[in-house]
Amino acid sequence: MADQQGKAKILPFYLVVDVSYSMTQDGKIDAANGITRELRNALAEHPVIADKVRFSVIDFSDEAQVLFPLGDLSMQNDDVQFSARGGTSYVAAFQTLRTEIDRDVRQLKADGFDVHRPAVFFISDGDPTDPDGEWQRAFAELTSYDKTTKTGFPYYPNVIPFGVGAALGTLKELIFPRNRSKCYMAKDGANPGDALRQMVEVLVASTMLSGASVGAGGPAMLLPDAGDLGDDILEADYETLV
Amino acid sequence: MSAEEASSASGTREVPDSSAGTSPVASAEPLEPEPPTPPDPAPASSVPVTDGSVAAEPDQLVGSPVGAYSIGEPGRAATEVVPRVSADPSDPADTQCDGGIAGDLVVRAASCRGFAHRHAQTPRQDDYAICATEGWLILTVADGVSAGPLSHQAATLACRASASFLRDALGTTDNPTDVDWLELLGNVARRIVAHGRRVLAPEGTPAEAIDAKAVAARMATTLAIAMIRIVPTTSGTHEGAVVALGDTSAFLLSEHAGWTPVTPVKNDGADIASSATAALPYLPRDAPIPVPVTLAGGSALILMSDGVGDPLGRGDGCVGGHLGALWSTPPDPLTFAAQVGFARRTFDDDRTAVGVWAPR
Repeated sequence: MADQQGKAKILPFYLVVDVSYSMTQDGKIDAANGITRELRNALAEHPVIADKVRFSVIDFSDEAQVLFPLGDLSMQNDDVQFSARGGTSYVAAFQTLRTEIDRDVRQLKADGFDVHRPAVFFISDGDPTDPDGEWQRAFAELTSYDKTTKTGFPYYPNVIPFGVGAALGTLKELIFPRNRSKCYMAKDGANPGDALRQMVEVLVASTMLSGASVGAGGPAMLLPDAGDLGDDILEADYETLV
Repeated sequence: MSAEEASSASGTREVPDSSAGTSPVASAEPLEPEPPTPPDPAPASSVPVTDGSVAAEPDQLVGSPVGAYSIGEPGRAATEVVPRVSADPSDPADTQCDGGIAGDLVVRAASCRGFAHRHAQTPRQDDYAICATEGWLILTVADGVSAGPLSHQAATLACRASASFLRDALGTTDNPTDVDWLELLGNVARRIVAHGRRVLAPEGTPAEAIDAKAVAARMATTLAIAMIRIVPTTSGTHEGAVVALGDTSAFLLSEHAGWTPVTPVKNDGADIASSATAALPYLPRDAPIPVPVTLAGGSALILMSDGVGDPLGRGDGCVGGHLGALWSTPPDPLTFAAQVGFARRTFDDDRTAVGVWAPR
């Protein structure tokens, strides 16, 4: 950390959105299309936090694409819009994430920033269409790092999964790190679009809390209190999802 | 004196000699003082006088604004965050500065609220105090722990109580190592707890009913203390000592050696950055041992909160290069305050620095 002194702090966030065809149902994609507007509004009111956070927006179906490369979302005039296509390849999402995070963090470090651990907001409305075992392997490649042997991915992110329709067993496996992150899901019978809108509130709150925390020397990932959640969603940590 | 009061009383801007050659470290990033050049204080019609300064015409106004400083990219906070007037008239000033002399030593002090507290409309939690006797100059800096909503009051109490206790103690011992440091810190801690109990006790409840731990959760502070002998040694140096509790630090600044930490640099060499810090009213188990310092001619001793210490690091980066050049000689107090409050993207903590310069 000694070589980080005097450098501006940066907290990178990756917003990853499932755009498989099923997202067009129940207003889910409309809710997703409101995400960057909500983030921009929140950041506009908090320049102290906006100075520290960067966002990248990635969507995925059969393949993943970067809609907004890591940058200052608060300086954008337009919202990022998602359009549905194809299936649900988690492998494509995780591989693209790893490539993007690796390149972004290296670039930020080269530019003289003190880069804090990235956080991924992962939004999906269904189980992966990848063969079982493959998406788990891709997730492990994104999140595994051995500090003693220095093998794996040193810039592994914290992952906060948001599920509207995804199986709990799948969602649970995406909580990372298991002892500190959580997942969010729609309650039974809730309208998926409404649930996703409430998840966006969680995502925005987490961004602001984390951004403020990093400046004060606190942890780089904070999540809102369970009591502050909307009526249509639930939170769960790894241990409670057996 | 608040900056507002002071600015109305300010005279001609005294531009410090910051010729870049005096900095031991090459400046990696641009420093942007605004305005970059002060207005010409000497109109063509002025009459030069023998001491090199300029005599004004009888009704001529002479003066220049103190500009804002930034090092590297200032960030959105620097341009967009505007401090609001507080509802509480007892809240500390947004910015406070002082300057003065003690013997041939020159003192400058400034405490500036950071952008985070300005935006959140919460008080500046740093504070400082300075005092001098015939024998000693005493400087203190405290940084209220951000988790405590009333930590600014603990910081102010700690600065003032420790400075006055030390002033009296040095009147009887004249040797920093003979001061009972645990008693000094205990005295400060008791004052914080007594004050906290008074403030926190609900109406009709005896103050003693409030637990000391409950006070510590609401107000806590780091503290750094420096004492410098006003009379120089036969070799022209000024001897002194520093005691620091928590991450408020002290540096020597000289033309030849640049920045030299007197206290350990936060997180230096640590794998994991730690924000855990010792804070009053909790007391250390062992008495702190004063670190001796020698102030050579032309050098400075500067106490600082981590709002300055974190961007400064070990002083070998661009922040250290710029501040080292700006503070190679004591700036005027208002300029010193503007420099302590320099903008730098993501460095939004409260800033306090108190420096003492020995004559060349």
